[in-house]
Amino acid sequence: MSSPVTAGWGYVAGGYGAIGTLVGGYVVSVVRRRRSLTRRLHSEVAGLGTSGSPTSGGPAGVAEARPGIPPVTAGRDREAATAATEEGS
Amino acid sequence: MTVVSPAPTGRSRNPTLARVSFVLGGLSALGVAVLLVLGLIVSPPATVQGETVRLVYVHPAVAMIMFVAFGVCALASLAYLWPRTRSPRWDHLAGASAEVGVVFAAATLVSGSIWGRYSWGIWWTWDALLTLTLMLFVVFVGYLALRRTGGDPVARAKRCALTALLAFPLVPIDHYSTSWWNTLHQGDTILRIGKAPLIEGWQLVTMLLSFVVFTVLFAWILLHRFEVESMEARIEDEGYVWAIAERRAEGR
Repeated sequence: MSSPVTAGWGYVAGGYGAIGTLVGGYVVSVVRRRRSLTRRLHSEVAGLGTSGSPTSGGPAGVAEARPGIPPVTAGRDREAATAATEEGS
Repeated sequence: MTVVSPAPTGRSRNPTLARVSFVLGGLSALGVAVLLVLGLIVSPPATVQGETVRLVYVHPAVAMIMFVAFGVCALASLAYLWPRTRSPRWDHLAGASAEVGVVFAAATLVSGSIWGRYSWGIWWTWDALLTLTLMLFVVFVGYLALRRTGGDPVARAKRCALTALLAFPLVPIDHYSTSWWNTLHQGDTILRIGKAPLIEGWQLVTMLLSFVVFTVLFAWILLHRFEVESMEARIEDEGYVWAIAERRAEGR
């Protein structure tokens, strides 16, 4: 049977260990997510070109490239853009 | 008809943010190292609590950061709902802070449970403070789940901001529960109105340092998490553009 002194250190180790594992693990996960997202954004941008012109390989001009694909805008304007294409076609 | 879309831009990390992150990260690492030395070696054991008094150098500070994180979430949500200050950045900050708060709430509950097992002989009891902390944890886990729902990003951000504001009153109720009700959990250790702190000397210094160290650590984590939130929103926003461009490339 462990003495009270040893048992006390066991609880201290448990408390510090739990906080270290939870907070430390979270820190590692956040930093890794940030690095992964940064890489993803850079690689996708590099793959597409950045000027946005139809000749640059950027997403502008997508509508003409393939029939049936709506013109593109980001975010909440997306549905409006799709509707505009359908009306125009 | 051609609608010119905003092209994704390959911005590298903001140099100012990188510098602030470096300083905060360095201070956090140094602070944690000093805190461990003071907390585990320099400060003496207590008369009644023995060695377990060393938990006072981490558990209250972690709990305080939980409150601060949920407070930042509520303030950012308020700024988002206020028409004059509305910006997606406030929504990102609220989401980032809530997630950090949930992690610190889990750390508070687990470390408190371990300490309670030694002090009270039980891992858990439905004491006011413990129950309210558990409620905070569960409510903000729900908030994080709400942030993951689909639909219009603006409507979702408004829903989440409102939820955060409705959940926030739990924070002061939780914090003051030891003063308002008879609880098994002890009250304040340092800020006792009209009374001296319960600890002194190295114990007091180490406990005060723990609040500073965890605050700096929180700021550093929040900065990184905010960047993640912003990048995720950007990917969600521009993902449609990229998906179309990929299909276009496949069709060549």
